[in-house]
Amino acid sequence: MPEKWEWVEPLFEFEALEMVPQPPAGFTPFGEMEEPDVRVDLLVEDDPEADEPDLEVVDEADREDEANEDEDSV
Amino acid sequence: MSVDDAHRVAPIFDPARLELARKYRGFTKAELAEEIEVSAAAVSQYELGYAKPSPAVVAKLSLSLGFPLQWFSQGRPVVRVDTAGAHFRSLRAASQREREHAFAQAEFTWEIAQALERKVRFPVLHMRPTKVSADAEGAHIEDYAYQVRRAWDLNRGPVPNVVRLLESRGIVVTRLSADTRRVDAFSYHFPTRPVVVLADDKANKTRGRFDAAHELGHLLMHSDAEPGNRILEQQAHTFAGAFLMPAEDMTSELPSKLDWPTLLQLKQTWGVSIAALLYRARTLGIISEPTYRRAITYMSKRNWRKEEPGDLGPAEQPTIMKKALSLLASRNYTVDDLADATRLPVDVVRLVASLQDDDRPAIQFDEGTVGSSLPTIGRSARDAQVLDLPSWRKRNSN
Repeated sequence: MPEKWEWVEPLFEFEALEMVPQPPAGFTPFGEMEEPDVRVDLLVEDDPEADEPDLEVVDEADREDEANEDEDSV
Repeated sequence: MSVDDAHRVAPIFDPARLELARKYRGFTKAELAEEIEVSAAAVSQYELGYAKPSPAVVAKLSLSLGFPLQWFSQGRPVVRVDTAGAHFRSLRAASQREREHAFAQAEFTWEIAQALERKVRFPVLHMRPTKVSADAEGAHIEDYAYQVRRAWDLNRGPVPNVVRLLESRGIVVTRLSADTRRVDAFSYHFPTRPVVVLADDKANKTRGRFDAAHELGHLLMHSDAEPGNRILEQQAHTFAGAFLMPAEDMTSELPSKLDWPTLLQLKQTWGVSIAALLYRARTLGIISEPTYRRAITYMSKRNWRKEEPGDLGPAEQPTIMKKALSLLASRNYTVDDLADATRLPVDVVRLVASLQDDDRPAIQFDEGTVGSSLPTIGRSARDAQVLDLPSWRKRNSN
């Protein structure tokens, strides 16, 4: 086997590895994180005009403007 | 279904709805013609609107396709996916039949979401699309993915549930029916909300997460671009990689040598495949191109390209419609009512709303109706428990 391939061979079995609890990495594993809240609310009354729900296209410039306004108001 | 119903629907028959139902069930015109005992040319005439089917034929269409009679009557025009505007990946492997089935499911998904939004409020669509040119550099896309993470209040580190994250930002997500695995995920901008359709890959969590992030990239960057372009696919891949594995975190996390235990641990932490981690390591210059290639060769030899070690459990499932129906249960609004509102079969609504794994009534075979092999429950073909394209076709071929 060429020398460059030597590093490839594992010195462990993955099956065994999976049985051993791993020390936590620097970040909380994705599966242990709080899941995003998918907010769904009942409408007070049925909305027959709901074919076009309000859309909020977030514009970064608007966000900055809002932030500036907040700062100005302080 | 009554004879009167068929007589009422026949004069106001909607050709587009026939075509959509046929494509969803995976019939060619000739196959459907054989089912309903007319010529293939007749089916074409019905779909083109050059001829209207008789009440008896409408009844047969309803039974053969498992769609309620009311589905075929005119109403609000069905919003169709413009196939030139949907971002598909690896569709070359999928048959025309599978593609059309997938498009139809996307259209049904949007219809169902529309019906639900008359009764519940979904999350506001929180997106800031941008235009990314075909020659945009990777760094530009990296930066954009970083901005999206910030706009969506994601802290440093892994992304939690990607499907729910998209739903929480107003994107509707659905999963394709079983055995359509040659169709990859795709996304489409419907008039009011984008829809992401994920492949049926319930056992592969990492693939679904990456696919969802990939489609987010398309929705944000390529709303006006012509889909199918290899460069756009590459850009969406770069976006997904940067979104799920930000450079500022991964630079210190990824090993510079092929340290498989560390890669496996990172897979568990970040919810991405080892292959994606390696690709990311190459993109960030942490490993060299030859090293990357050797790693992929190594993985291929061990069949890890198809089945990686370190299973992360079942794929993330869409929840938004399920949650809406759960809330509506307090008003005695059920999945049957949603099927009535959309005129869709219950099996389609259940699939789209990711209710298919819930308890459902047992299948019964009503031998006394037209299309005697049709499994039905209850009062109409709307209730037919037809689960997916292949089983529907298989059933009909028996």
